Amino acid sequence: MIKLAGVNKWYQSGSESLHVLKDIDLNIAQGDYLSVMGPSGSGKSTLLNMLGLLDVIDKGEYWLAQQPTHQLNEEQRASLRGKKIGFIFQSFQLINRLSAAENVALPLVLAEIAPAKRKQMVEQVLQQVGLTDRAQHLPAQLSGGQLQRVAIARAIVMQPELILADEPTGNLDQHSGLEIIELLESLNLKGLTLVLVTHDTQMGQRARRKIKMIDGVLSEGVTEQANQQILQVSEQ
Amino acid sequence: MKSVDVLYFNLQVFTRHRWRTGMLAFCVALGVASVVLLTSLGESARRYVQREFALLGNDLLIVLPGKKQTSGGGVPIYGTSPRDLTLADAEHISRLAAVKSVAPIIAGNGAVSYKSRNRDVIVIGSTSGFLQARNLSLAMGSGLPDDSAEIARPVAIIGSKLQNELFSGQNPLGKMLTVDDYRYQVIGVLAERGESLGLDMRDMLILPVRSAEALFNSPALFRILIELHAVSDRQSVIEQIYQIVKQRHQNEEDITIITQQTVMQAFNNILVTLTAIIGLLAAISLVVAGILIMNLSLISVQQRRPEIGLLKALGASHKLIQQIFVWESLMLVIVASVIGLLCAQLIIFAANQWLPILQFVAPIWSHAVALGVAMLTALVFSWLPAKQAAIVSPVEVLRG
Repeated sequence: MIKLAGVNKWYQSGSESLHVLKDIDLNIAQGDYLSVMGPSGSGKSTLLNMLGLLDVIDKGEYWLAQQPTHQLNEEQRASLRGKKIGFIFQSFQLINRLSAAENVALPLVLAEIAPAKRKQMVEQVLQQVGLTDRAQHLPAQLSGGQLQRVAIARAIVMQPELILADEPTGNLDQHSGLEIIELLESLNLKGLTLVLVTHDTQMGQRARRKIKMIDGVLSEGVTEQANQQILQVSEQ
Repeated sequence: MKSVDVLYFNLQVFTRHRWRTGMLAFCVALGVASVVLLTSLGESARRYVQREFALLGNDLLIVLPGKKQTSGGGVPIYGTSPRDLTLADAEHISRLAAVKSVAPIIAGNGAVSYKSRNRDVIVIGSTSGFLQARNLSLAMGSGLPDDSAEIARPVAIIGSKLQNELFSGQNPLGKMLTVDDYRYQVIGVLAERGESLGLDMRDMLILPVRSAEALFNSPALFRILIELHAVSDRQSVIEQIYQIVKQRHQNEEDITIITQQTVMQAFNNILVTLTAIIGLLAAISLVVAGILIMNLSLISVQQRRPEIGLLKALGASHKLIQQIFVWESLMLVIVASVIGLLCAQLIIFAANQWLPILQFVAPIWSHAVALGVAMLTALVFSWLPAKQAAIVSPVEVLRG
């Protein structure tokens, strides 16, 4: 489903050029459950942005659902992003003036789905995340766990093939965090590809595939030794 | 994103930012109302002048002493000719078959007194045809005698205001007035009409032309008003009048003949231009409102960066983000413009109740111009903020 080949990314910081992704090669199959772990500044969020087509790669190839995204223009990438990818952010990113249902419906509105069908799809996903009774609540009236559930509902409402979750439990207490991870895992079990970026090694260890990012270099299969290394770098 | 969803999305933004939306709408509505009201002022002035000239009658010619070309500029207001236009000239003109009536006019100022009351008024000397030529009517008494061009009878017609001020509203018929050293018996009072072409007909004294000639000690006529038969060939009559006066003035064409239409057209042109200019000046206020829209939109873009980033992450393209922000300004301007137009109509309605004589009316084009300028302003001034919104990087704003 996803193929990254020799992907490189540089950021300009003043006169200095930062090489944040270094020759990344990665294949992700449909239904995979991947965690990307690494210390701050290791390039894991940049990798997620590349996978989510929010940023462009400077060198290499990125194939998503057999499409060479590195050759697409902004319009085409936006369209592909809307159809194939669902995002979950650490800070939820809900629009405060919209109700939970309206927030969930946003991707459907952007995709010009008819209102009747939209309503039906929103009800369905809200039920899936256990928030049917909170549909008309504003974000200010919901708890952290509920907010992230709304964000998950929004991410899956378009029935995407890939979910990219950037620290989805970062702003939640342990109990709520666990609930959210279990919810994401249940979606993965239904066939959704899940890529999870996290600092939390405990959460990261739950994934079937673990990927380690250190200084822009990716390596797969996180061992206990690698975990310690990540923890040490994080603490520094 | 469908258009209806863009509208609904922006409607939610408006309700969320009521104060900001209200202020912007107020500025735009004020600008639109200003354009409509100021052009309405110009248009009503134009119509007022038209009505005034229409009151002169359709088949009226006005002969002025002095030649248009030699006096320079437009039509000479006060004649400047070495040879006076005289009653004899008027008498010769009246012999033309196409001429229905002739009203020679002498005009000047005079100090009118009755008992201990004095007033400085405009004194008009004319003949019995004057009232008809100027569409004036009498409230009481009789008009000027038919022999006004031959005999200097000591009679006068007064305006209604003069009646009130000299006679305290009592019946003045038969009373004797004094103008300078001359005494005149009041034989008529003009019906209330107000101003006509800048002259306050209510504050006027009308004498037989011969009496005015004696009063001012001058045979020079100020004007000759000529009423034609309806079927006359106007241009040929004008040529004939020029010939008659030329023969009588040592072969010099030293008069100007103007028609009601000529004067009306000249005033019309001036007032239409004036109306357009004040309308455009008012439109500047809309541009100011546009700059305000731009500034507040730029602030709004800054405040809504996370929202823009989110929309992009969910699949919105640059173009769509741009459209959302442009539509936000357009929606606001359209609604505010409609409010502005309605307010202008309400004010025009109220003004017409208060000053019915002016008959305020806003021309359709002023509505179109106000709306057009407002929408163009919204498009132009929302472009930059929309562009700024479109280039917001979701990577930067969604972090953390």
